[in-house]
Amino acid sequence: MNQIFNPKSVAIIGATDRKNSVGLCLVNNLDNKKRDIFFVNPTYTTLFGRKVYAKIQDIEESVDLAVIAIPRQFVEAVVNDCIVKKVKGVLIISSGFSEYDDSGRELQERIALKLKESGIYLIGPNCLGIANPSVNLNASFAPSTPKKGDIALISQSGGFIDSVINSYGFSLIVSVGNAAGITLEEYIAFADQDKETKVIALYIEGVKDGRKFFNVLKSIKKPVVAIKAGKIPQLQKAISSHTGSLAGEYRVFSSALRQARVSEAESMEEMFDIAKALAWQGRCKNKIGVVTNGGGAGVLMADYLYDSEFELPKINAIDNVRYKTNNPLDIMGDATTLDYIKACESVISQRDISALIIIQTPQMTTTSLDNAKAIVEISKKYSKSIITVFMGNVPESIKYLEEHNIPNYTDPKRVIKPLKSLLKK
Amino acid sequence: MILEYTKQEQLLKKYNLKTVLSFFIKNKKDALQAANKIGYPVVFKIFSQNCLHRTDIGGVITKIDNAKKAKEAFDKLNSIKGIDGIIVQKQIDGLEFIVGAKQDSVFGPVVMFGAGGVLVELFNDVSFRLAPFNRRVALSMIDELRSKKLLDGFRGGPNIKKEAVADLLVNTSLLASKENFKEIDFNPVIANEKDLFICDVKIIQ
Repeated sequence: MNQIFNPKSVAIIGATDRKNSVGLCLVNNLDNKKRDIFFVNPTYTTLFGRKVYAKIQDIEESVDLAVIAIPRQFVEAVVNDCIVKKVKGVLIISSGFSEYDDSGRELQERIALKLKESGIYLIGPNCLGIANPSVNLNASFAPSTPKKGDIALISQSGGFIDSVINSYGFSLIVSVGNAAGITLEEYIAFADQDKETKVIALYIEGVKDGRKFFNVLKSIKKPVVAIKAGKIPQLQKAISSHTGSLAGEYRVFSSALRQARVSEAESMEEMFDIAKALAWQGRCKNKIGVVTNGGGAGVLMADYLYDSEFELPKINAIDNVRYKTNNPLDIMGDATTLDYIKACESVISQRDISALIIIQTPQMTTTSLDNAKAIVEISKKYSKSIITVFMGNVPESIKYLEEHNIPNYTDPKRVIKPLKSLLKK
Repeated sequence: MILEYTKQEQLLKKYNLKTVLSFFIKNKKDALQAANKIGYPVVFKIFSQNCLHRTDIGGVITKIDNAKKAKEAFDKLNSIKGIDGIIVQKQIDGLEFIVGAKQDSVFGPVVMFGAGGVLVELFNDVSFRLAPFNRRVALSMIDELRSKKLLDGFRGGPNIKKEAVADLLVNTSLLASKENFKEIDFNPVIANEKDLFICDVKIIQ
């Protein structure tokens, strides 16, 4: 699958200059001089001053990936051409297959079988495409090209990808579509092997084979966060026993995720909150220290931690300070960067503290960026987990923290689920 | 349809699932003998392969503490139409659990666990795991319940051995993953400080 996710050459079948078309969007997203791109479209001879091939076989050079964005009635003939051309993989953007009607399903099955017999990978059909930012591949019609990052997003919805593609950095993006060729489970296993990926994020509506899904999630090494859509129970057939009536489909799905040690997110924001913690910080024990320069935020944090059964060990006495040593450790509103360093170093080096939450409320004397830099230095010295809660309008500091792999949350409440997912199970 | 009584018994035995001391009888003489052997108080309940909810039709009589009451109970239950026999079993007290299994359309055999009798249904406070699983997973099922404090002697209740509950769950998961069934209900399972027993079994095929 490496050749599909890092192709040397790509043919865009359905390339066009027509405004607001999928074909044009693919051209714009793919044509970045990082690899050979060929345009295929029988109705053009040139596009953007370049040659357009009527058929993929007309291309002399070899083609690793063929991206197909044409009406469904032409797809099968083009797939036949791709087989003749001996491409490595086919990505079918086009819709109108098993998601649409019975004839679409038959067509999809026929195409998938042909490609399988020819040893050619199939992505889709009915998908947004794929992206591999570390090799500058954006074989999708997403509205923009994602930044490099460490999250592999595998999604059963293309729109979901569109809605987050600008907001985070990604190591891989896969819109699985109807998954007639490469399956959801195969993408997950691939992401587990991918060097750039540190965490796998899944948007799931349903799975075809629950056991296969469960087994792959159980067998992979990298952490996974998933969001499950479609929780409303379907019309239930006559239910005869207690177990039947208590076991809604979603409950079982959620339990399977938990059993496979997948963190389940309840919102998109929470999904990426969890993802960045899993990607950037190591696992910790349930021994949490909190350092704060704001009393209120510290108390709120303590409340949330208590509600979720987190343990806050006692903080050892710190010499020559004007504050009391509690956990949360309130180093007062006028805390300087030196105060932060002293308090954080002292707490994090405590043997019975496994993770440190550092809260910063922007007050008159707060030197936010210096604090962020100091925290990054501390994070390099200690192998314990660090999470920050830099609140208020301090985008520069937050950017600095996150560029150095310290996950920041602007509300203490948002720490809870990511911190839970960091706990060693 | 519910599996025959003796077949249910055999299956439970095969997977080391311990039921409360019970006798399956068909006449009054045997009923009284069974009650004597077990020792009062006892419970009488009808068994019918077609009857899923026997309490709804008055098919369960509890706290029978003498022979006279036993005779009356037998006559009453025996008059219910279509029964296969009557189960005489020891009346025991303790914390009630529900353990069940079903075939999930996506994930296959799944085991369910809940604690606290009718409250289980009221609060939908149950946990699930795909079968089969080990003791660590079973313990996490207990830990997941909002009502988990019930197991730790809540308000003078019994302190339940979680390992024993976990073993029951593990064994149920083995049965669920290896045998043919549609749904399984062990409801209630009753636990006290020393032991726990499956008091009612429905294996539906």
